[in-house]
Amino acid sequence: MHSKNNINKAATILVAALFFLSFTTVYVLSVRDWEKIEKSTKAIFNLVDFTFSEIKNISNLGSTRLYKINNMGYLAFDQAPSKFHKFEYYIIFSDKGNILKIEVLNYNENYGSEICNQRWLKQFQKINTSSFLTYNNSIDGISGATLSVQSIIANSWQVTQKLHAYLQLK
Amino acid sequence: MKRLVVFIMLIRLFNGANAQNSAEKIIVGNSELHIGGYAQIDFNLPSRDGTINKNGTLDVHRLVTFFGYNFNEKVSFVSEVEFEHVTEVYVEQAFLDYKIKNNLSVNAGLMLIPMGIQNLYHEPATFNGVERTNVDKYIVPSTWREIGIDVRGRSIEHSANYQVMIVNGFNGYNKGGVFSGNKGLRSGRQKGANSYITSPDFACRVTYYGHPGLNLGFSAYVGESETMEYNGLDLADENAVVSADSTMIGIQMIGVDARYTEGALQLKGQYILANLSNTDQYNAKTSKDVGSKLTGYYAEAGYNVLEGRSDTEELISFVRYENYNTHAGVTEGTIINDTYNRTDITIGLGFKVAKGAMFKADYQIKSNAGSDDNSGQFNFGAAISF
Repeated sequence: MHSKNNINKAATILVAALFFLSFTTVYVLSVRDWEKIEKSTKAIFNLVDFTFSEIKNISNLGSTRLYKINNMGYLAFDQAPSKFHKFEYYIIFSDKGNILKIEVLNYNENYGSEICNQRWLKQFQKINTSSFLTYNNSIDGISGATLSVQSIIANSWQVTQKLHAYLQLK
Repeated sequence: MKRLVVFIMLIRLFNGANAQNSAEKIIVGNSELHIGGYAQIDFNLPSRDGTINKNGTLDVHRLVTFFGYNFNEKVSFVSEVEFEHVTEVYVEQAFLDYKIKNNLSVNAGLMLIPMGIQNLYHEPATFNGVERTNVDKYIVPSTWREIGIDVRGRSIEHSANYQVMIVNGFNGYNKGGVFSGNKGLRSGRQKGANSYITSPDFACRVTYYGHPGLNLGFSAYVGESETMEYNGLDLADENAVVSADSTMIGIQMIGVDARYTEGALQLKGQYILANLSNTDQYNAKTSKDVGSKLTGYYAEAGYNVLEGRSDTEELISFVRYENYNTHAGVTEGTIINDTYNRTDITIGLGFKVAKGAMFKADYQIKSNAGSDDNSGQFNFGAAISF
């Protein structure tokens, strides 16, 4: 009698857990994603040994995940919408919060994938501004990829602001 | 504890269920549901030898509603329903998209054939000129769509996208020949409406975007047209088989296209070549004059006058040279008709007042190699996509 009760309870909790999981889908970075991020980190900071320690004690992070890279810089990962789906990308920042690299990890739509172009993404590295308008104007548009271009500009700006807010608190 | 869980689940259910029908989903802003559309409203005014001697026409050329639904991160549905000239209704796209893994998906349903630029990017605010290019009407029969299955992939490392498709072909013969010398393959589109199949066709496209501002595309299509003569054909009857074979043509089409943007300058070009086989037998059987070779190309240069002066508006002046020839080659028994070798020169303006909203005006000079006639046409239009 007693054990049956426990099974019931366990089953209820399991069902409830599944129920919640089906509502919240958090993107899990794959091994391949991490390999790319590590490769870039090595190249940028000229590091052999490094760790990514996640920064969680800030509010309003939303879907953004922030990591500290040793004492050298920061990594941010996020998803942003294209026309229909979401794409995954990351940014590596200097310790001052300047963009050193931005790369799209996965692009899940046939239209607009031009934003994955590394040479186009290099434009983000040179910008040093506190105005979104200037930031927006510093990036060349791509015809046929307008939605994704706007999306990565807006999303990377928000991510940068989140990191800057954290750096000011420190 | 149990009661609490049940209570939370009930709340969850309520939250999930508080938008049950489609209309309510739209109202509450369902993130899974995507709504969009595009429209093109035209005023065409033909002229001949510099004078206007015909009535103008005003037309809601096309109005398309887009509905998409993301079932989850992997599965989504895309649909476009089109009203053409107000009274004709078509389904332009309707397919299920299943993401197998990152950067790779399988799709099945009614899909666009990946050939050239405009068949895929046909939203009116994405091209210059009121009307679509005629290369993408007479050579690539836009909007060309059939039912099939495809694989679409993206390689970020190589800055390339690819698409490989098995798809239904044209209806080439149904109680009579459907293709024509003038319009090429255009009348054979089945559009997924009670379509039939004799044998499947294949299409593929690769695009490369490795150089910023440049987008290169290569498309190919191979297959045979479908024919109703094979339906219930007695394969033992040699004469019947020979007769049925003559109602089918082989199609090999390739296309290369390029788009380049640098500051205010916008360049665009496309070349399409289609080789059709068995047209001698087809023409003999159907008394048609289908060409054995179809070619079409255009080159366009546009300049955004407002570049650097406005963040939201663009004023694009453009000029386009276009040639499309449905009789670039014929087989024995068919005489080349030079009036099918047509050239359009289009000069115009596009005033983009917002992303996806554009006013257009242009003038087209239309000529052909078979006559001295030079006709012209003024076009004015409103183009919308969202």
